[in-house]
Amino acid sequence: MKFPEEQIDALKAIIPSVSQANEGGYDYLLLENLILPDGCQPAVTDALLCPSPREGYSSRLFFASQITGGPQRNWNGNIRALGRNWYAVSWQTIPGLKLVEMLMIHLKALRHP
Amino acid sequence: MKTNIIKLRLPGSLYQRIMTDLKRPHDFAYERVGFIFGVTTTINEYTRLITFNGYQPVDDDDYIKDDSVGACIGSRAIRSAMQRVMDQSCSAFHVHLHNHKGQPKPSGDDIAGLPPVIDSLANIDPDQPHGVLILSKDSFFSWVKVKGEIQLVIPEIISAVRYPMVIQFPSEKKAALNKLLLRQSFLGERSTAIFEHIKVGVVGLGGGGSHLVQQLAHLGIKHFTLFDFDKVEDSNHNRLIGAHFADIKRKLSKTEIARRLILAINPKAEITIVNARWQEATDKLQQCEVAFGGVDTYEDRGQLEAECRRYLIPLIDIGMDVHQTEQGFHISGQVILSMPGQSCMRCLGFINEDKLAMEAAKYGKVGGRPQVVWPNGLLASSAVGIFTDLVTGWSGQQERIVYLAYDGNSGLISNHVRLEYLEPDCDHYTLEQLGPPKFIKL
Repeated sequence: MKFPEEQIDALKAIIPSVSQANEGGYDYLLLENLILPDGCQPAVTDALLCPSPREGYSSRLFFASQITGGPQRNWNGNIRALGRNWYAVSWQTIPGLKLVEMLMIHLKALRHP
Repeated sequence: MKTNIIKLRLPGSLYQRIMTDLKRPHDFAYERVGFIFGVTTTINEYTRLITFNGYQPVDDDDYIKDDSVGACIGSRAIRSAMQRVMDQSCSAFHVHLHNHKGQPKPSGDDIAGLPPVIDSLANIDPDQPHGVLILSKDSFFSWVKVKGEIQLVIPEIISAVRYPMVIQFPSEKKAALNKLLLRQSFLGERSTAIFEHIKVGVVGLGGGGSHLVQQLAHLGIKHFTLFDFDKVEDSNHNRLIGAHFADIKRKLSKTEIARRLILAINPKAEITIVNARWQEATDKLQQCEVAFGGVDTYEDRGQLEAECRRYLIPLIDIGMDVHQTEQGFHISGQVILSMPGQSCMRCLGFINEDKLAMEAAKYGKVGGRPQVVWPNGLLASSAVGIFTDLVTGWSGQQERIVYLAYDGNSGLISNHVRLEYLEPDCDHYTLEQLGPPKFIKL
């Protein structure tokens, strides 16, 4: 899948290291050294964004480990993908978002209200 | 302990392409030559897996007339292979065919002429293993040059991953007559040796997996890798083969129960146990030549299939379910052979987004799903039968795609109707995705 260039550029303005891979029919974006909201442990982590529908979610953001320090969440995603184990919060996004919007909404799950 | 274990795996489509190309007659050369390219996965300190994903035949014009050898190729052909190694940082193997049955052996010309070709490839990228692969009609021979080793290494196993598989264990000796397996000698002259050497993974040791290990042990499988994080409970007792009543009180792990069961049948079995989710020990899975899946969810099946496809491991999945309808209860089940290069569980329509979404919505509310012993036994038996044919080829069936549907109310097991409407190729998993994942920088 080819993502719109302007969306990738916008994503790279936030996180410079973005790369793409496909597995099992899903396209993924690997976001290396993603800075997480204040209070999160770890503060920086790799993340894997699946921008297409998966398991009933319009998109999913997987983290390299379960993140602590944020609000209590339902960590129901625990998957093996692209040679690593990943963890995700049950967090829905609406369809049709741009990549940056998607990422920001997923990161809200880790932010204290 | 062996410190340099190499496993070579070729996808069936690539194997077929190589065989077809190498069998073509040449104007003057007695045999043809090509190069195959692959990616190397360092599984652990001692074990490397090379999965091949590309083939480059030597052009007709690059053969040099020399009646003293089967084939003499010019430097342009070797340079072209070296260029690919440089561009892709991959492994490269010189490949040719000895057109007979049985394990090929390097000829005098091969012994004299091929090590320098390997050296040329290794000079370009010494970090990657390079080598020679000699094919016969039904077997292989290989030498591999590994960084830091003076001697060329002979792989532990070479396999073409197709139906049936072509498997060669270079250390294999003609098996002595085994009275315990006498009644299954129709499975082929090499069947006993294959069962003795092949490494089989069983993921999930519940109702299905416990039947599987019991039958595999009877079949003569010696090397097992068993994955299950769970311990036996009261609710498992109606279907967990090998579980004793006292095990429940002792909270014995399902892997321990399976180990005890296997060893009672075959005391010489070598069993590796993983008391965790398989995702926590993928190195152990990658070493298996064939895997069985007896996992509970579509999500887990999809992940296991992805991992198996990446490392060219045929996966035989079994599962059953009990549904309540207006007419009463209905038992259904399936046996699927997910063969790398062929239709995957998504192509077969067994896994789709709707099922995954429904499953995720029920997460944590599943409760005690109804399960009984006999459908698991029947599905496991069918799966072991498919495995046996896959690795021995005893039935003579070729390129079989397996999706069996079980109707537990009628007791019938038959080809799933979806097999009639299949697309020939799987686009969910490609040869480019073999080995460690490659990310494209954006």
